Amino acid sequence: MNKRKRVVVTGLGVISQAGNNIKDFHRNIIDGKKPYCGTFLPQRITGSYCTNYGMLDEESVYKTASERGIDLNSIDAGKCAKLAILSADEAIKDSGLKINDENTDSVSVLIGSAFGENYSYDNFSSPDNTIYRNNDISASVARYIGASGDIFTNLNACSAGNISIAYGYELICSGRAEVAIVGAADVYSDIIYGGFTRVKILSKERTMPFDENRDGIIICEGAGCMILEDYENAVKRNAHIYCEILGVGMSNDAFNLLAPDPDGKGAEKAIIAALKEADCQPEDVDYISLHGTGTQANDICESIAIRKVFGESSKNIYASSLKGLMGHNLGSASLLSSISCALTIQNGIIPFTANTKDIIPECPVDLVIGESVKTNVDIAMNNAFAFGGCNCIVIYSKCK
Amino acid sequence: MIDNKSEVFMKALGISCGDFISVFGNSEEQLYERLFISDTDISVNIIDESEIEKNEVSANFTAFDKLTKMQSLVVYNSIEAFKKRSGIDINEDIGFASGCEYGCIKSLAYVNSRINEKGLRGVGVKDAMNCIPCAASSRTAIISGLTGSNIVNYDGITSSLDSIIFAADRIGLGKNKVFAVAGADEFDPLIENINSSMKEHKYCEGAASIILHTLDYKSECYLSGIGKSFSPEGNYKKAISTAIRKAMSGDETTYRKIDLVIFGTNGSNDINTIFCEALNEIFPEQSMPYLSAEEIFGEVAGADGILSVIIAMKIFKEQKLALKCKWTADKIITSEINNILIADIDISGQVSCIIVSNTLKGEKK
Repeated sequence: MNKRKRVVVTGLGVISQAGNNIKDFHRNIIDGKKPYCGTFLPQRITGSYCTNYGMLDEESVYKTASERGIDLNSIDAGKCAKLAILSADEAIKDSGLKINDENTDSVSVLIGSAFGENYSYDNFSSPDNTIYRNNDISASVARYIGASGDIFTNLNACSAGNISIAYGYELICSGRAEVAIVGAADVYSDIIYGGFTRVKILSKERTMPFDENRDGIIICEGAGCMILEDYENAVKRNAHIYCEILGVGMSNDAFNLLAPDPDGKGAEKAIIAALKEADCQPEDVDYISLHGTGTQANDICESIAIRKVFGESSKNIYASSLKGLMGHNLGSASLLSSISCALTIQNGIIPFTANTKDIIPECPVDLVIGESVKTNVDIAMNNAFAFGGCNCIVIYSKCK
Repeated sequence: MIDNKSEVFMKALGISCGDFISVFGNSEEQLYERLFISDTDISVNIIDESEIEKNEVSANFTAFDKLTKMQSLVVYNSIEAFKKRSGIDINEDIGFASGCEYGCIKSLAYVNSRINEKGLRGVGVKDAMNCIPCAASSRTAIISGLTGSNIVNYDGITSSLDSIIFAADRIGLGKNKVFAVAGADEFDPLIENINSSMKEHKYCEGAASIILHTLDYKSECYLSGIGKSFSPEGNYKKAISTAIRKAMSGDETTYRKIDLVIFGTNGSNDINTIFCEALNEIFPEQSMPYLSAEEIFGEVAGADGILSVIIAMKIFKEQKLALKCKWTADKIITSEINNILIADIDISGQVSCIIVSNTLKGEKK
């Protein structure tokens, strides 16, 4: 098999409550602001103890699209696909990559989601309703950008974003692709809101990762995209490189559909696999972007797994969770936090964990709360631990 | 541009322990009859749940939705058969990759009906869990204790081939040595609302699995080529040709002569014609026999590719072509069947292709 190639990140794109472009997104996650919130008006599901849902401001999404010359109404695709297209559009422009007849076969598109276009079943019995296929999420992006390589749509719950990144990275490593457009997107559905209410996983008010008083998640819509490239090609075309991907690790808890393995074994296994592939020692990691959902179970299990792998060096590692500010963007959460890792490595500012005040004693890391921290970050690790036990870790570093 | 000849060839991987459940049954004898004896068309689209539950293993699955039951059963059977065959005892580090086209469609429709009637009170916890797209794959992994990985794709009719390709990529990079790969889909009339081309197909439910592994373990046959392509402009023939050519640049130890093609599509029947045109262009001097898994199992989109592999394994064993085979030109007698090309063409324009081989170069069977 071919010698493994180096993989770098050359473009970023985002649609989120914190920003419809990377510049706004970065500024707002550092400052702890969410200026692009939409209004939540549940129709069929009322009576939930949680009256909060992180809707995107639809008007600003359409305005952003229009400013970029994209008519979202003319694209025959579901909402997830449209958000994925928008974020991919920004990422490609950011990377300066030109897709043409010369390279199209070697450009892959891998988009993930937790629930995909299944929101379109919400009105399935209406004759005017269109049910969108989940396959069309990646296909729509590939069609929009003109990519002819592998396309792959994974629906791996909260790990979907990291899975897209990991598989895109592996396709380039193996030589089966030169570029991977990796992304994730998730939108509102009555079933998600109703289902999470019934299993009592929603917070009454807000997400407080690793806080003594945490009581669950607030679900949010969002999308993100990264351009991964073969390092040699990126250098040849003088691309701006945000960071390099050193390694990925995957595992499965095989424990329970809704709860993580309380011993953190699956998470530990994925972290060890990623560090091994990255050829890193635990003490080399400067920053961990936590999965940090703010549920009782996740924050404890994640703490256990980190302590098992990093031991005493845990307390010297900065960490934060974007979910305090952003809520839980489901499948796109790990993509957005990966984008945050790339920006952290580039700019040397770690975004703080919003809402958290009383850190749980089990938390082994130096959790950044209150305000963002300016510090050099050479190596960052991004955690994703999904419903069903699918775990995926990605390790980023400065590109040397 | 990737140079297929030198850059992306893959080392052959082993395939073993296929298992399936279908509208006509789940035994080797029933498959033999469908392939080589019976000329009848599929007449039902649904599998009786009692057929799934009568197995002593799946009798424990009664709490789950049908999709989970079907997939869990076939994967469990494949893993247990592999453990017996290879002598391995534990499921640690066995990866799991699965695919669906429609997934939890029945559960989604059911819960939405309940929400229409009763709002939040209509959402039962168990029903809501059934609506999680990765629920079936996660439960399957829990039942069989698979901790290597658990990845589910929703790539339409290419989903089970894409699971095979994903697993092959991971094994090729040395991340895993063994992968369970599965595909499944349930039937629901809603499918025709989602994809109107399905009116031209006999959509059925079912599930299938195989074990993909390194050559450290004894193989029943081999994965010797993989290829994927997509045409942004909707040029199916271009995507088909590109995917097949990528697959043909596979393992250098196999022959390049393809003896049979098994393909499937969830698009209109026009795609069948386009596919044959592509075959004629790629194999201009060969009248190629071809078959679709749909003619044997009905169209089980999420499992089509793996069902095609199971057909291939049977054909390798019996060394004869299926009754329903057609030819791109004149019918010819095929003396030896060693390399089978399997392709799925999704209505979106995505094409996935693999080559399975009965022997590697120089190997005697």
